[in-house]
Amino acid sequence: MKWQKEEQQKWFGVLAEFDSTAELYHACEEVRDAGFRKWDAHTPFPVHGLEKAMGIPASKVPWIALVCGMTGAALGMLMQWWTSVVDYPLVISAKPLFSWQAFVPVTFELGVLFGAVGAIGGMLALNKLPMHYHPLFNSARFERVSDDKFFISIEAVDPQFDPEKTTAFLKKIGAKHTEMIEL
Amino acid sequence: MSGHHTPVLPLASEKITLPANHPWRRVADLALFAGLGGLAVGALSALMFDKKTIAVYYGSYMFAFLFFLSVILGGMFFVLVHHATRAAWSTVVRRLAEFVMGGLYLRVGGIVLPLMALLFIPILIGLPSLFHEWVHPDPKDIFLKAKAPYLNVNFFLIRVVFYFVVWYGLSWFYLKRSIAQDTTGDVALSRQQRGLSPIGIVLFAMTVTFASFDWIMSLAPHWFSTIFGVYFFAGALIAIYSTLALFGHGLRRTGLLGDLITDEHYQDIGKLLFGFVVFWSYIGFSQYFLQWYGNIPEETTWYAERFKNWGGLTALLVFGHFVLPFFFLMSRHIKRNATALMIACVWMLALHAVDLFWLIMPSVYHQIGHAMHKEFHFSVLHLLPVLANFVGIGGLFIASVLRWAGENNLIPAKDPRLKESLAFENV
Repeated sequence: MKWQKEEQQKWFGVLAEFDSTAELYHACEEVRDAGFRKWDAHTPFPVHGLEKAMGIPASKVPWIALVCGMTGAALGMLMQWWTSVVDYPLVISAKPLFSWQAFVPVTFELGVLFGAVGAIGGMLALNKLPMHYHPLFNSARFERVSDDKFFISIEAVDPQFDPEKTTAFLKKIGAKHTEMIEL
Repeated sequence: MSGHHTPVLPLASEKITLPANHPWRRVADLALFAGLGGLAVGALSALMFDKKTIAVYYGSYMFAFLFFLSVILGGMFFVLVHHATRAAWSTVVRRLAEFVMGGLYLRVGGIVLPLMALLFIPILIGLPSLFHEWVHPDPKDIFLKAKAPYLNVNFFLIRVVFYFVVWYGLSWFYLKRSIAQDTTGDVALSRQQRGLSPIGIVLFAMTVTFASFDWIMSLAPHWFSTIFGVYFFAGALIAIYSTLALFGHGLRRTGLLGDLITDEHYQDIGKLLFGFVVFWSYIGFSQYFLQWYGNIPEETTWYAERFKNWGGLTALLVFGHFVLPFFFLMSRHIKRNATALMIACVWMLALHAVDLFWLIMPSVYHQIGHAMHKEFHFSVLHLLPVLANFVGIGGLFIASVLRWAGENNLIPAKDPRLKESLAFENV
């Protein structure tokens, strides 16, 4: 079968099934070393160290959280400065208008709030969640990903993807079963 | 659990001890002599003070004593929390915390001395001058009159005995059982340690809180802060996490532990260090914030003293004890990089010393000045008793901890959760 452009648009990619974490772990190392870009591993529970086997770079979420947290803290301080110094100056217990000590709790809390929202929101956005449809759920065998099976999916959009060669490759590195998944 | 990287014990016998000719054994002996020398120099330096200013000597001694006591108490808390939470990850480093907790004792020849209790004797001798303000209260002082039922010498001494009984009782209970498990491997020993830990934590919290009230807060007897015990506790935890990371790193460099203590353990200790840097700042600010808001003279004088005459140290604490480590320790790459983490640990220990100095010494100088009816200022010469006592008590502390390390297994080899600890990974 010749892999045509129009056919590529029909397929999501290939799904390979593994029996154990160890098999999956080593298979992921192979896929990583083969240079695939658009692929993923699916497991019923978190597998420690799998991100190393998959060659996933460090998450960007901490940076998003940091920037959001700092923004929140700055906004908190600014908002209080503006209300109590500029918009409605009011002397309270003979303290200066800009009594930064009194503004620290709100500054801190807004920093925490923005940081937390940034972390959760950034995580969801980077994971492209919420996602209402995913082609992998068309596979009956894939249901066992939430039970006792481990999967690797390589997407058709990967530049190295070729239905026959990639399937053969996955079989070679220990896949118990492979199938092509429609979009 | 991935099962891909489970380090194995380097020796089949599961015994990992310091070899007979290991340099650390010599360091222990040297530290002992340095400690005795430091205490002697410190005592000699007391000669430069007269009856009215001798509190500077006792204050510097209290500073050095509390620095090392806070590390020891931090170690005790680490052990108590480890058992109370049935933690697994910290099993491999728990023995090091136990050695630090063992700093309460010093074995010389065949005798085990209660080191820290003995080192408290000079403070008892200096009690009338160090705590002059409440030991000899002004009869017209209604504040101290109201506080007299608590702040009097007899009750103070009873409390000192109580604190040491609790600390020696708890530390002996845990050291004995943990070391006994190395030979018997008896799981019941783990259960006993877990069983006492909640009660131990309550006793620990009470004794640490009131000891910090008695030994630091009462140096300025008009001042009060109910959060003060927590502030002292936060500093003690920063001290123990820094000490543990340094101790573990030192052991790792000797090669004795192989790869038993991994980057994962360092990252966790680094996370705790980061967390308690924030906690310390939170507590420190809360204390300041409420007293700033309330603006009551007997509360604000304590801060006024530290802003007016000790402003440099106050600024150093804000930036060096909070802002700098907060941003430095934030990244996981720093926490997993041994060199960077060690720099942070040495820095935090130094700043913990600054923190205790800042808590103790301004009150001492204020009290002396108050008694002499004129300002009494810090002079560079006063650094001599500070440093000598620091080396003195520190030397004995290090000698004690290294002797524990020299006589016992360096990891709890037969702890039922050791295996889980070795395979631990951060997600």
